[in-house]
Amino acid sequence: MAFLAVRNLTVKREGRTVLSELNFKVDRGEKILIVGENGAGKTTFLETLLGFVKAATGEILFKGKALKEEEDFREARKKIGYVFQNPDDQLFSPTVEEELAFAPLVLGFEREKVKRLVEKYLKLFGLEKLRNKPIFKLSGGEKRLVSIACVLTQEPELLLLDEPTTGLDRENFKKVTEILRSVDCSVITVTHDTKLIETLNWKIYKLEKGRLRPAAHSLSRK
Amino acid sequence: MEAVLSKSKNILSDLDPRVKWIVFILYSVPIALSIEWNQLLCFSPLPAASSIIWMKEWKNVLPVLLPANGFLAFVSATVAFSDPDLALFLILKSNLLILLTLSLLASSSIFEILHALHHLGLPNKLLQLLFFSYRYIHTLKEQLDITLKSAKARGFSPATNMKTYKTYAYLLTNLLVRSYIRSENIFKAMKARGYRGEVPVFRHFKMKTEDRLFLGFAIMLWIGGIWLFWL
Repeated sequence: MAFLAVRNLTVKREGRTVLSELNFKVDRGEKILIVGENGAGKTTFLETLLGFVKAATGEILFKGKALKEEEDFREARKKIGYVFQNPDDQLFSPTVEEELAFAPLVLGFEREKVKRLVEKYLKLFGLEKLRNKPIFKLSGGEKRLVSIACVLTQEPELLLLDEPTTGLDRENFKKVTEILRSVDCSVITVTHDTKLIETLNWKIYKLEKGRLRPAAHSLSRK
Repeated sequence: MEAVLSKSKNILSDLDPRVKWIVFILYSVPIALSIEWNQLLCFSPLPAASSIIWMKEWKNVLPVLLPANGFLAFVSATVAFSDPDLALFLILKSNLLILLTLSLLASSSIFEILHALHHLGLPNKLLQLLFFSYRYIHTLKEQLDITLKSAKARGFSPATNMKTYKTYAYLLTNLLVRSYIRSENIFKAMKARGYRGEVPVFRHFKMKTEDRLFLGFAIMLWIGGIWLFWL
């Protein structure tokens, strides 16, 4: 049984078919990259998996359970971490520390565990000095790091990342790729970044004409 | 203002924000309602003492006090000739309220202030509205500055003509649309991380001995003032 399976998924937005009869699956712990032209539907695909965009037809199965109603997606989202393309669309808490603590607190983790997770990811991402800094005062790169860290504190089993390395300098790029390699959950990363594709060297899918097809690594150099 | 004073460290800034709110309400109401000099003066020691504590922050406090007093002087001038006593009374009353606000509320971050209000029983929805308004005012301002810069970079120069009005209309429309889209995305982000109507808080307040001492002292002074001049 696949960890995440998508069967015959069709999504229409404003009368246009964005995803068409799409089939796809990810196994537990599998890490993949999705590439595609601008407007190919990569973000729509991720948002459909989370239930933010309604599918016209098709089926999404997460851990063997079909996601149909909002309640099913709500339960699934507890185990799915989503990093937005634009960190400003994602971060809303007053400080870095509160941002990292939001999801585990909402999901009812024990307070001691929340503290442990917050400390762990503040340290891992080198954000300790910024813990009390207001989010709106962070630089673009810092916001990007916080946007990834705050999703990892949720302890997701599936991580969805939309262009996770945009705006990162070389050092932070290295940090993020090392962390993405080391996390033990399944990861779907949507990206245009050829450097990221080469560095991660994961299985690649190309989203084209509404469908996902396995692609060769040489794609990243084109 | 809040950002500047909340970074300073002194006996007042370290107080529990819940205590600050209680003392602020206890003192600001009688100060605002006082109609006699003795009523006003019996509540002045606390704001006066706290302004001494903030003395070293005068560079940050003056930019607030000066414009406020300029306005007060202008307003008081209307009654100064007929009743100079009343003009002075109004100026002192207003300054006591400003000092009380600065020393108690402006010495905490906005988040601490709202968090304290939550513990004092203010409805959660109202607090979330206040918090998100504050949180996104900066983002809106940033966005407006960026779009304005973008317009200027392409030759836009504000003048008194239709083109300028039209450009500003475009900028504001753009800002509204972007704000709407952003609010939708933020809501998605919150839902993606489990939001169901409550914003939890990671750091909670702990009442310390100095908080209890300050609260006790302030309440004693307050009871004394009410007993002597109000009852």
